[in-house]
Amino acid sequence: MNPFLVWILQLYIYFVAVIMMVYMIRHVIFTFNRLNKNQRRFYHEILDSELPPVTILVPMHNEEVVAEGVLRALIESDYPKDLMEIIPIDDHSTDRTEEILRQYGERYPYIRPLYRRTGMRGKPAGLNDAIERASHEIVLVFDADYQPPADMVKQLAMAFVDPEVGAVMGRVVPENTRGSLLTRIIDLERSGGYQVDQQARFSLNLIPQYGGTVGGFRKSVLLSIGGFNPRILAEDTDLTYALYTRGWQVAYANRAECYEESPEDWGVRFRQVRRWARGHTQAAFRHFLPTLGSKYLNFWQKLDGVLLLGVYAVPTLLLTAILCHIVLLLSGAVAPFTLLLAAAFIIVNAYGNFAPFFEVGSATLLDGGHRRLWLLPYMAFAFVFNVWAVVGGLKDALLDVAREGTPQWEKTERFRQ
Amino acid sequence: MRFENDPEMERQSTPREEQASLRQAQGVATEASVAAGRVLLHRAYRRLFAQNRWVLLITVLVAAVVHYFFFLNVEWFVWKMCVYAQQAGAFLDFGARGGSLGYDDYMWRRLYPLVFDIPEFDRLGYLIRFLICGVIALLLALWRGLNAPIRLFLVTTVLICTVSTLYLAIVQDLGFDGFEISKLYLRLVLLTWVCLPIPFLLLSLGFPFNPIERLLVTFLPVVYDFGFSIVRYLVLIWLASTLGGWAVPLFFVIVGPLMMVVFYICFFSLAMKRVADRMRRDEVKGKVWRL
Repeated sequence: MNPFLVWILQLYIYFVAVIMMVYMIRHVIFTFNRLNKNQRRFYHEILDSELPPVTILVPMHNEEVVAEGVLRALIESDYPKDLMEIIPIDDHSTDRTEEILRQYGERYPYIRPLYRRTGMRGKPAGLNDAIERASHEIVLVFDADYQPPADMVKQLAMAFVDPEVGAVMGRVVPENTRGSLLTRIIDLERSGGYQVDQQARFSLNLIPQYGGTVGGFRKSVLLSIGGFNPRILAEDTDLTYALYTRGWQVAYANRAECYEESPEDWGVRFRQVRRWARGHTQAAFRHFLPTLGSKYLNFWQKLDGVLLLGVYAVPTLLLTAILCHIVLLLSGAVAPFTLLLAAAFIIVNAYGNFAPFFEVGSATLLDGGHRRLWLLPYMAFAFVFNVWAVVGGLKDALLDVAREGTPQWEKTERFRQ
Repeated sequence: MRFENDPEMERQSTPREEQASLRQAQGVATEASVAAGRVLLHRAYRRLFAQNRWVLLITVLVAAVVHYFFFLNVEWFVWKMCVYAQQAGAFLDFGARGGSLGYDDYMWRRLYPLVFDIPEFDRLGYLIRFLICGVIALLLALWRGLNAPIRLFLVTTVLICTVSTLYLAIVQDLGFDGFEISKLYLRLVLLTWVCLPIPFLLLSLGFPFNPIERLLVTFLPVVYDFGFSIVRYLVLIWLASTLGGWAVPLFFVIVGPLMMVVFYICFFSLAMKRVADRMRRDEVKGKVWRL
C-alpha cells in the first residue's frame, strides 16, 4: 500500500482518537461535577416575587391524541390566569385537533388557538406566526405530548427576572417508561442528558441548551434575531447559539420536571434521532464560526459550544475511523503496531464509548434509579442504533446544503391510549 | 447523669442522630445539618457526600502498588493465557495448526503468540464471499421481526465483512499472516491489561465504594479479562483459520471491542447497582445525599 496513504489513514485515526478523548474527558468532568460538586441553583428562591405575564405556545400537527392532555395540564396550572395566555397552534392538522382547540377556546377566554392552513408547515414556521400574536414579552413553549405540572409555568417564568437570561429550559422526564424496552432506554438517555449533562453545563457556566419542548424565551430577543429559521429543523439549538453569541444566557431548571411521551416504536425513534441529527448539523454549519469568534463567550464556553455543535458528527467520525482501521489492517499497515496506534485503537473503540455509559449510570444513581441500572449493557446496542440514525441525519443535512431547499418537517407519532 | 450540671458537654458527647431524636421528641427544632440528613432531598440538586480523602489516598496507593507488581509480571500472565489458549485450541481441534508458539518483543516484554495458518482466496473467491455478505446484510436489514438495535448491530457486523471482502477482491493481497495477527492480538491484550485498571480506579473515585469494593472494581475486570481473553483468542483463531483473513477485521473492529465494552458496562452496572442498593438502605439514616 502507498506509504503516503498509510500515513494519511493513520493520521486520521489519531485525529479521531483525540476527538474521542476530548469528548470522553468532557463526559467525565460533567459527571464528577454533578456527583460531587456544589450545584448552581435555578431561581426557585424567588418564587414569591411579582409574576410576569406569559404567553404559552403549544405547536400541534394532528395531535388529537394528546391535545386535551396538555391543555388540561396548563389549565390546572397554579399560575394566575389573568397573567397567562395560551396559544395552541393547529399547524395544518387533518384530524380532530381543530375541533378540540375550538372547544377549549370557547370555554376558556385565555386560550386563543391559532389555525394555520396556509404557508409553510413545521414547528419553526408555526412558532413564528404565533409569536406575532403573542401579547406578552415572556413566551413559553411546550410540545403537545407534554404534561407540565401545576407549578411549571411559574418556575420557568421566574428565570426572566434575571435580565441576562434570554431563554430557559426545564428537565424532560419520560412518563411512559413502562411502555417498552425502548422507553426505558430513552429514560436512561434522558436522565444522563439532563441530570448530568445539562445541569453540569449550567453549574460550570458553559452552554446549557434551550431544548424547545419545555422552555421559554423573550419575545423581543427572538424578534431581534429575525425569529426562528424555518429551514432549520433544530430551531432550539439554533436559538441557543443565536442567544449566546449575542451575549444572552440560557438558564436550566433541573427542578422543573416536565413529563413527555417517548416513542414506543424503534422506527419512530430512528426517525426522531435522525431528524435531531439533521437539524443539529444544520445549526452546526450555521453557528460554528460565530461561536468561535463571539466576543461574549469565554474560552471554555467556546470549547463547550463547539463540542456541543459537533456532537452529532462523532458517530460518523467513528465509523470512518473504523473503515480506515479495516483498510490498514487488511493491507498489513497495522502490523508494526505502534504503541500510539494501539492506544488510539483502544480509545476509539472502548473507552471513548464507555464514557457516556458512566455518565448515564451516574445520572440514574442521582435520580434514585435502582433496577434500571441493569439496562446499561443493552444501551451498547442502542448506541449502534443511534450511530446509524445520526449518520442518516448527517447525510440529510449535507443534502440540504447541496439542494438549498427547505426540509420537510416530520412529526413524531404518538402512542397515548 | 454524668453531665447533669453541664448540658453543653452532654450535647457534644451524644451522637448526632440521637441528639436529633431527643430534640425532635422534645419538640425542639433540629439543627440544619442533622435535619439535612433526615430529609430526603429532591434529586434535582442533591450530590454525594464527600468521601474520606485519607482512605481514598491509601486505597489509591494500594492499587498503585498492586498494579506495579502486576505490570512487572504481566509477561507471565500473557504467556499463561497463550498456553491455555493453545491447550483449549488443541482440545477443541481447531486453529493453531502445529500448535507452536512464536515470540515477539513489545513494551519491554516478550510475548509468545500462537502461530496458525490463514487460508487465502483468489479474486473469484473473495467476490463470492462479498456477494454472500451483501445478500445477508440486505436480508438482515429487511428482517423486521428482529429487534431494531440487534438488527442494526448484525447489519453493521456483516457490512464490515462486506467491505473487507470487497477490498481484498480489488487488492488481492492479504497484508498479514497468522503469526502477525496473533502478535497484534497479544499486543492489544497486554496494552489493555496494563491500561484497564487505571480508568476503572479513576472512575470509581466518584462513587461511595468502600476500599475493598474500590480495589475489586479496579482489578476484577482484569481478572475476568484474563479468562475472557482466552475465549477471544480462540474466536480470533477460529475466524481467521476457518473463514479466512477477510473475517479478521470483523474481530478487531467490531466483535472484539464490543465484547470488551459490553463486559465493562456489565461490570460497571453491577458495581453501580450495588452502590444504589446500599444508598437506598442508608438513605433514611442520612449521610447519603447533601446539597
